[in-house]
Amino acid sequence: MKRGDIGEFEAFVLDYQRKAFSTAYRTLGNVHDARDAVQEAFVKAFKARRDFRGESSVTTWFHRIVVNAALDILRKRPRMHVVDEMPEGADPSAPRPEDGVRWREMKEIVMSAVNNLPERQKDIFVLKHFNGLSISEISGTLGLADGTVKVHLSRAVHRLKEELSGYDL
Amino acid sequence: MICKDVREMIPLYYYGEMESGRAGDVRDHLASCADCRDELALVGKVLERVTAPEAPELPDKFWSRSAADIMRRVRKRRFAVPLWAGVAAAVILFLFITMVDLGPEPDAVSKQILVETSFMSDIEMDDIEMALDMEGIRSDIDSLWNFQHQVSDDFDSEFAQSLDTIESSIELLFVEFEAANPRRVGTNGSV
Repeated sequence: MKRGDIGEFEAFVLDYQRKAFSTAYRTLGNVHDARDAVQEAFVKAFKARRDFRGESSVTTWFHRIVVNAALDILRKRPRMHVVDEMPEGADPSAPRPEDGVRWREMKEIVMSAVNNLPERQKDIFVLKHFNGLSISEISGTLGLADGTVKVHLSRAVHRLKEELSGYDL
Repeated sequence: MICKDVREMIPLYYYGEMESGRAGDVRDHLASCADCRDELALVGKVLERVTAPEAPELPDKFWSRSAADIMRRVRKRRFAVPLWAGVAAAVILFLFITMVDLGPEPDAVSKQILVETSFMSDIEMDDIEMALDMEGIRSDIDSLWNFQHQVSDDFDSEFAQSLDTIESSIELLFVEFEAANPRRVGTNGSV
């Protein structure tokens, strides 16, 4: 991406918007918020393009911006809406044989537990569990030490276990 | 290693985020401790239930609109319109509509002015969407779209661009609405 070249930036948008959307969606769980995060990320990337030093790939640099844009929205709108990830053809009201509770009800319970994590734990858990980032990637993205990330991730998992293990998983 | 330490480390062990030496210590402990193995199994079971939302398939039009909106915002940042200019533009637009009587109902025009002002004054999409209350949105859409095309024909200007943004916003609301209510929306978009 050449500095200041809006044509090249448009090509960058076309190349990366789907991947960025996918990342944001995994963090936010709905089309509207994910779209907002992606738009915000591209605008920020455009503004910050002169600061890009080439120390990492453009993809890594931009991924970090997307993740942070998504986390900003996640913090402002703490409810994670899960409305459209039900398997195709599944009946939302029908209990599945392998579940003790209804699919959607369980989904709500699980997402509620994630939403109820303290902010830092939630950020780190979402980046690790939903986006598959490594500890070092998370620490780089959030500007934290690896040890801090590990502690928060452990606490988040223990907390989720405490909250969810009582249900018939 | 004692059970308490191992249980603390189980989340990192589960994610494969331990240094190899420590991971080996945990593995050795697990081999000889049924309680900690149960704990690992429980953590695994819980985490398997916490699945990431998978993005739905979206139409090509969504992506072209999205890219267009991003580029519009990027260009707008370079040539930001001050609030007074946005309001003035909205007033001129209102006068134009009133004088040439292009057709949209007064309510739609009022909303149009509201969202136009919001857009021109750099207020985010959310606020535009809030301005279009969900109750009446469907009846306004045709008016807005027809209106956009009429204006687009006559004006190759910021007005047409901002109306395009509104159309995109409405379209997004449809996508969301359909995603949230798959059983209530027919293939032709009817509810």
